[in-house]
Amino acid sequence: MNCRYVQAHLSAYVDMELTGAEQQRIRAHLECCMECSAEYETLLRVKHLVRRLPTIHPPHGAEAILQRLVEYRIRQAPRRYRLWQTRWWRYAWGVVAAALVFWWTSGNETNPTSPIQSDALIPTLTSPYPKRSFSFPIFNNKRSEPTPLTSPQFSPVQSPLIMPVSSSPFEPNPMLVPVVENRGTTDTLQPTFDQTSPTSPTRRYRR
Amino acid sequence: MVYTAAAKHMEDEIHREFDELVRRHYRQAYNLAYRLTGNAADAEDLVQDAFLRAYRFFDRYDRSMPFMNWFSRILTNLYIDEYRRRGRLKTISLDEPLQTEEGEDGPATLDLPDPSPSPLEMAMDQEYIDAIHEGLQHLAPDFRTAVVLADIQGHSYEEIAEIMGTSIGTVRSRIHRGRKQLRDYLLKRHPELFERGDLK
Repeated sequence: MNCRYVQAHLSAYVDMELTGAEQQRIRAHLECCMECSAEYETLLRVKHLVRRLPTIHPPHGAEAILQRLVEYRIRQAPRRYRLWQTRWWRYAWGVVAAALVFWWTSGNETNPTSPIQSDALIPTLTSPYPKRSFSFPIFNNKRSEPTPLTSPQFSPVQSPLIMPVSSSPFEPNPMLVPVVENRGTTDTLQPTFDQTSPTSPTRRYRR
Repeated sequence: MVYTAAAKHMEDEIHREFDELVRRHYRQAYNLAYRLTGNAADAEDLVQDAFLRAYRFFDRYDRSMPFMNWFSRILTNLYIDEYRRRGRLKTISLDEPLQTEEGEDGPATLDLPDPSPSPLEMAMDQEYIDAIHEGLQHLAPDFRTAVVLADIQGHSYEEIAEIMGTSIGTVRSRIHRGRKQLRDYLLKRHPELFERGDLK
């Protein structure tokens, strides 16, 4: 082991980054070589000096970085969700529009292709409210005399807020049942036909 | 809706985790950046840029290794690549006389923030602290980075090799040459620092 080799490995020796055998050999050399020993001392001193440099405290806290992170996230976020959000709202408006159209048409029973075809299956309603105002005034222009049904069935709805679910495909949804007028008595409701239009009779219940 | 809620929740978790890492390691990162760049303003910029870059590539962070090892790599790479490209690093030969812009002899003054030294660190005069700091700035960026990572950050050669993306042999060489240059710089200005028995 010569001085050149030792001096080339002195920093690693200082940092104890050599193998055990190499550390031993260099230590043995340093004990007998003044020149290499002096070199070792200065390099060890440099390491100590740098290590003892005081820790520098940042003049500002981490808030500046966190603020920049927040700004970065805001810049990045819309790009990531823009497509999804647009599509979702487009569907939502479509769903809302379809629901509105459905509610409008079903509430007035002006549709000639109404699924309610059999009088026997039409339930009657006893509503605590004067009128189920699904109909709009424009469609209530004329009324005809009541025509009793042959065998009305009774399936009273306790509360207009509760929408019963049909258990049978022949039992229509009460929401689709024609307009009911309550004139203050609790008599049986009689379904009637609005005969104002011969081609598309509007079915009505009257007392 | 479900997808967004889950994604949002996950993203919030990552934000929280990263923000906590920023708070925990900000001081150490700033200290490293300060010793690399040599001044407070550049150090702050470097730390901010490095944390932003770390956030962008946070999905690549292997949580089994210490965050600071991974982050030091980002910070030093950013420093060596970007700052050298911008020409903000001036590597001055140790042989040429120190001159300020006005042409006067003597080292240029550096804006040192209040270091608030611990009682142990009080043993070293501010004059020496400044000299060592300036000496570090006169090293080549690669040498300075290796020395700072080893002696200030306390990393092993293996960690430094990983941080700097080099071999252990290169790290060993850089630290050795860096220390020797720093020693020569300090010997010229403050030979008393190397007197036996001092600063032990």
